[in-house]
Amino acid sequence: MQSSEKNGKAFHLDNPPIVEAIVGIECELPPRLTLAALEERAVESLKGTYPKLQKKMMHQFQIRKDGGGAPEHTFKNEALEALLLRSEDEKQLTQFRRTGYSFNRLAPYPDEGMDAFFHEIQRTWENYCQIAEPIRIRKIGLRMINRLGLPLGAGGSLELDEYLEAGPQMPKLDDRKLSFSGFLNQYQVADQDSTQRANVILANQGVKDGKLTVLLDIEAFDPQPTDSLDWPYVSSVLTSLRGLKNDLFRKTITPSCLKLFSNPAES
Amino acid sequence: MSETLLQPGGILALGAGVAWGAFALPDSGVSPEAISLQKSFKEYASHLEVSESLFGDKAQLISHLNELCAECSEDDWDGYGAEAVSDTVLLCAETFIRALPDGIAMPEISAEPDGQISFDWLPTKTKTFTLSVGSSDRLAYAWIDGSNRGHAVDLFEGDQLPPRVLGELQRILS
Repeated sequence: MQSSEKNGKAFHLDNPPIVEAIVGIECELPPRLTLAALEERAVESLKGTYPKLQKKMMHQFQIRKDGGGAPEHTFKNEALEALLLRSEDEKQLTQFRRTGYSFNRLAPYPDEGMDAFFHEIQRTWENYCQIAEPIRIRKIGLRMINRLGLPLGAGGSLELDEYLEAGPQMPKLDDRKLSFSGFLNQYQVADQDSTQRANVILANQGVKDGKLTVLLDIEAFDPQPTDSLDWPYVSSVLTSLRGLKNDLFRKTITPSCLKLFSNPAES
Repeated sequence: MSETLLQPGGILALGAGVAWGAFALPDSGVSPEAISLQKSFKEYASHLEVSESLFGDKAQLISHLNELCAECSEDDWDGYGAEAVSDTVLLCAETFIRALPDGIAMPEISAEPDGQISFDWLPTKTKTFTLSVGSSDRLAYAWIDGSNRGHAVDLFEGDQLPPRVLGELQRILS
């Protein structure tokens, strides 16, 4: 289920197309803090729920060519980018990143929607604050990546406007008939009544099983720096961002598209 | 269980890195779809960087930076005990160049004895803006504007110049 609280409007999806939900909180961390120094405490604190540790490294690959000589390649394992702590089934994880905290939930998305995770986000965020001791929050973001399977018509074609209200557009030429063979559409919007913004991406991912796969990636975020690290504040921002994200989702697709996810037999 | 995750989003290729500016795509996602989106945007950024008009000046400066760092990649490169410029500093300096907004004059660059890269703008005899990029995410900078002067340190997130840095730089260059 996805629901939007804004103006009391709620909507329900029997089979939501979400493949990943991410809460990301970018932080200003103590200048000399390293992730390596946090690793032991981070692993120990979450080993009950997230027993699997992965390390994401920042790697550098360099090719240097001087004059007529042969190119010189160097590959250097440079720095720890993030500690990823995954649940046993690997569907849920929390990250200690070089720039902040993340909570990721992969499909299947539960019927209760994000409500099912709020307590866990609170727990892992407060745990992160205890261990990493961030100085302040630089940005709070809520990102949902949706995979839309749009059924192709006869001859393998598809009228995008039938499914996308705010989809990619192309110029209409008088003497040529054009159709999309691919698109990567991104825009950023700012809410004029608040500090909130959103990045919206639509990208086609090819055809599979008679359907065009389109990724709809919506990240609603608040880039307002704050010294307030407490959960009531973070929670209120996330709730508001959720409303923005849900509204953008509903207005990006058409009712026909929404119907694909309301009836499990069709999606 | 512990393992190292090496995914496309985690590889930074010098000379083909990406600055998204206002359209930064977060790399916190782990699903195949999130990684696929990241890849698509990297390809798009590489495509932009081929353009001479959009990226020519920056490409030239990055090339000069690479030469400079190669010359200063060993300790004592100046004969007075200077620290080597590390690959990390090179990467950070390159990221800084990519984040410079369009319309800002390209700076002069030099290596500093402490292994950092200095970016200097000298628009007139009485105006100077100098900024150091090291291996951390902090930018130290100073300016002289006639008889006025100042210095500060700001956090650099990698995609956009901190507003205070940009504001002071634009003021000095105006």
